[in-house]
Amino acid sequence: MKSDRFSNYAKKPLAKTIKVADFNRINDHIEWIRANRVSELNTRRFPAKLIHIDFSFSRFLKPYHIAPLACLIYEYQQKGFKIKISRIPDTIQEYFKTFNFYQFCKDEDENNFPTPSNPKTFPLWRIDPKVINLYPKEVQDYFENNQFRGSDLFVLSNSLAELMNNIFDHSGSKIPGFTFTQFNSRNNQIITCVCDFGVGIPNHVNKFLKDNGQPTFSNEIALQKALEFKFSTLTKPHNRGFGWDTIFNSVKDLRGKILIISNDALYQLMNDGTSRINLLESNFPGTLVVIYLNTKNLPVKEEELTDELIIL
Amino acid sequence: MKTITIIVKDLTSGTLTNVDGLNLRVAIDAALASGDSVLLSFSGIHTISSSFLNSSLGEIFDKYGHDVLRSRIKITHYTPPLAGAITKYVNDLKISQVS
Repeated sequence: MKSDRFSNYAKKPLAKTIKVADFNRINDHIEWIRANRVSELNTRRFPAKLIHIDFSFSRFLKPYHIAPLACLIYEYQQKGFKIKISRIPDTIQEYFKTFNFYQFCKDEDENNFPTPSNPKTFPLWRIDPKVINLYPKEVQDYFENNQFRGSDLFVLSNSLAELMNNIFDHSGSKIPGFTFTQFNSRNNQIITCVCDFGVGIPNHVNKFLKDNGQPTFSNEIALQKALEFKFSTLTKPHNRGFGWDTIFNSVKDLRGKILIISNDALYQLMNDGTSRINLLESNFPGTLVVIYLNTKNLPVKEEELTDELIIL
Repeated sequence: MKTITIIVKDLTSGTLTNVDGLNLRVAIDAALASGDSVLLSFSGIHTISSSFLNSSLGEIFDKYGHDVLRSRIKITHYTPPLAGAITKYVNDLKISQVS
């Protein structure tokens, strides 16, 4: 009996392996995230605090794969796990070098501003309240000074600022969110995404309604409600419900697209200005926002104007 | 009545958070309370958020109303997108007050 017990112990793997895949279906991606979070880890089966991230199934990772993956890894790091990257295809390896992924996996304490090494990709960034003023400006300057000389990317920095403030004000996430921005020259698109593992917008809206004695909504209606002009859960006293409207107007002007996945609700703003909202089969553990900007429609960068303008 | 010029970048470390907006509100409020007009210079500022505007111009709007915003506050040294964001915000305030 004794020897059997020891042999069973010896068979226990020393680390858990997470196999990363570039899912095309949202539900598959969400299921994968949920199944691989640190809270799902069986620490009796995997006693060692080591996670192997295996990329052998990855081929075309997109920004909306990277930002949730960063949240997932960060959760492990916060629980004291070491991250080991393994079985990376050459193309993915090159891709990772362009946006600070290896530096991120080393779990450095400081949110050091990483030096971009590729003019099309802006490094992965942990959303830290102390440096909120830095990232939106840096990402705007970076693309204006590299790929889009003469164009104005106010819409990018402005949208990111709104989304980052939303995380601080509403998400209730135990870990910071992550943001990642990349230019896709084949589609003439800047893709930026912001992800958090917080309570999710529908849950947050319904809690606010319930706490105020109002009837709650189904998750897709609750998400739609959150996006309405002037709707605010008043998490901060100054909030007025203008933030989402600001993003939608700017992105619509450029005929861009927005995708919002929060809990089991999916909102899509299409580039023709139409929108749709659906329920998903799976429940995203927080919020993922992806904005696609059509770079052919970027406005021309203009100098500061020095006249005196009445604002109302 | 004189015009006080407020250079926003000298007052705040950024223009994206509620806290930074409060610094601007205090400066505008002081000038308006003295009966002066305000000229806000956005020189060197390239982005702004609704959170910043909520706790600066939004608070001023709540205290003084839209007539004061229209007659005693102007902006200068602005980029067109920045001015667009500010004027949209202020118009949204007016719409939300009416509705």
